Amino acid sequence: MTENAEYKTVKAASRGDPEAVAHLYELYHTGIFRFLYYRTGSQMYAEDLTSEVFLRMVRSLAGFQPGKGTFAAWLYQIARRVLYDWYRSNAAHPLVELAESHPDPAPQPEEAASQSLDHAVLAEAIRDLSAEQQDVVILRFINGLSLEMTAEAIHRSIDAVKGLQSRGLQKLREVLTERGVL
Amino acid sequence: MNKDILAGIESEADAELVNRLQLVDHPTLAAEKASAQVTQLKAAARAQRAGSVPKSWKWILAVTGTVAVVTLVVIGVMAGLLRNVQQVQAASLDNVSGIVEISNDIGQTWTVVEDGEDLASGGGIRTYAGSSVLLTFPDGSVVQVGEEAEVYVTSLEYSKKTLKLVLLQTAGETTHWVVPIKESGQYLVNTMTGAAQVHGTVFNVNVPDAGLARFAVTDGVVAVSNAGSEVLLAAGQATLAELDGTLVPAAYDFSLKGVLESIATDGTWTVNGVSFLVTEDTRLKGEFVVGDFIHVIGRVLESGERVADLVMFSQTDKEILCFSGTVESITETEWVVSGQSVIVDNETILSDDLEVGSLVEVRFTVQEDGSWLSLEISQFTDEQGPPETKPTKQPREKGGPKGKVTETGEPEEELDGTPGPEKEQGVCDPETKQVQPEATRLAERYGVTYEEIMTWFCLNYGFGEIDLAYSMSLESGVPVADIFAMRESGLGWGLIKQTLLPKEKPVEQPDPENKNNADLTPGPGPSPNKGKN
Repeated sequence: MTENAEYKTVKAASRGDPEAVAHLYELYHTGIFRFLYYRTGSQMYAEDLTSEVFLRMVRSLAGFQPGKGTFAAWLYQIARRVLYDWYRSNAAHPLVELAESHPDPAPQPEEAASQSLDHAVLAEAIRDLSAEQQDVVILRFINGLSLEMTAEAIHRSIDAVKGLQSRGLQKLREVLTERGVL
Repeated sequence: MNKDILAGIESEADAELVNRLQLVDHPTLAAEKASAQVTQLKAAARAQRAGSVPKSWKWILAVTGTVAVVTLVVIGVMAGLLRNVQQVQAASLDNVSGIVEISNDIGQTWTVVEDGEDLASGGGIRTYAGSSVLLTFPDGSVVQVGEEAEVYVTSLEYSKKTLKLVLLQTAGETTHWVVPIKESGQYLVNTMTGAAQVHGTVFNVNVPDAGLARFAVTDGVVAVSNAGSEVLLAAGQATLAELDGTLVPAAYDFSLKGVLESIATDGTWTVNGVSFLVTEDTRLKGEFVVGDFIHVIGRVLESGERVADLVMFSQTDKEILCFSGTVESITETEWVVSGQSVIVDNETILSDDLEVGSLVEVRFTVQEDGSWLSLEISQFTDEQGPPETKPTKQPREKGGPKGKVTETGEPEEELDGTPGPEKEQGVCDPETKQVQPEATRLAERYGVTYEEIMTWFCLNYGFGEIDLAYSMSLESGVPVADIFAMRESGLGWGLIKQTLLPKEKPVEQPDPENKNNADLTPGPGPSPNKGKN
């Protein structure tokens, strides 16, 4: 989709056009869902939060200013806020889903050898990174956002994003190596 | 591999890892979930559109308004007349109880408010646990916003004594006392799943989650619509608007507060001898066991079956059994109201002028033989009206635990047939057997003990204040005891929030390891009770 076409879709959606809203959902829901999945480690929570992100998008579209940034970055800002609210209200709730599928985060060497890098293993490893490192690694290397867009989405400079991605990848490599995945 | 992905990558090891990440079979949202979410979003978009005023129309209004004002000034019309054409675009906030916040940027940032502040068109309001607020609109219409609710004023215009109001309610419960609206006016409450359009009435909207809205009417008639279908509700009736576009037929309301006596495997529950069905569509706000004191809101279907819509812990221990319906027959000892037989004796309080066909509310008790003895049969009207506004809030009393705690003074009497937020009350003993459901909920939410929450409650903090303090502690990392100490020192909650959680500003000097920007670390996070014993 060209920038102009996206702008028109966003404008139509901000006027309450259901088809335009559905189109934006089609364009972005996979990325938002993956971001939330890797940040929460839970398919179930990520599904619910994806819904919440797009509902907030509908409510907030009137406030989106195209001149101040890209739509995708703006949407990820909403996703981060939704995620924060979720942490706030679920602070006491353990993430059962991952714990059940991977009960031992540090398997013995002989077990570790059989581990492969699937999304559940990756989600668990990513949670060992700092919050901002998680954001950057997910947005950059799983969702494929550019440095500029990632910087915009997390309110940091491009240099800061470069630093976060470098330290994030280093930490992730260490964690995956420890677990015998790399 | 996309070149952009490797931008800023400095080592081969990093590039190799990035390559591995790209090859992972990343999860996707299940097709049926995505489809359901699209349906929900389209409904939300339609609700949003229904509430918006075209810009061109706003422009015409603005120009017309300006010309009118200038003309009136020039010809020197009296000041009283000027007031009639002045446009007021805000609701005043009164009876703020607990913690209430408003947002002027569509829910992005929230500020704690006090009595007397305004909520402008485009703004939003949300309440914390155990909190409530009254919104008074320029024409005198009043909305009581219950705890843990979120409502947006999509548009509000008041001109020439005519109100045009569109609200969007995304959570919680609201009760509306609407002053009769002129034909050119509008009073519309949108939810994600349905909308209520009225022209002067009393009604209640309950949004337990994004997939359901329950509309109930106390006085007058309300038109409820959902995905193209419409139901007219008379006083005493309720309907449900569901995510898939379903709008259930209007049915009479019932409300039960009492001890849960049994839970049968077929979904039949009994409270104080009154049985009702709990279906898969019933929203259960908690996990219930026999012996719990619960509050049930539901509908009596045409078949006479009672179906629960919402089940929650009751915050008062006053037993109330009531239902509404039309009087079908009257004898000296027995009345039939919408198919339900009730016994009438010398002690039954009967309103004047009741006859077959009257719409009534029946308060009753269940006798040992299972029959229903009516305590009171009254005409179904909203006799009490909206709560009176209290312009000033009583200052907090400093000092130790109190025997009884209420947020706004004396406990309020129950409004017959008009559900609304109940006042916080209860014995101030952390180890009392009379469990405070709100405290249980907050303890679970913040991973602390029930006793810890009750300790703050006994120090005269409302549950909304406790909710806010713990959430700020979690977000800021400041121990919750320190936050309460700030409050004790006389700082208002708004100032405390501003101090602990200043609004985000563009980062001038990037600091890659600074986590203050968004502390989104999963897991327990900063301990709400860190440093407190």
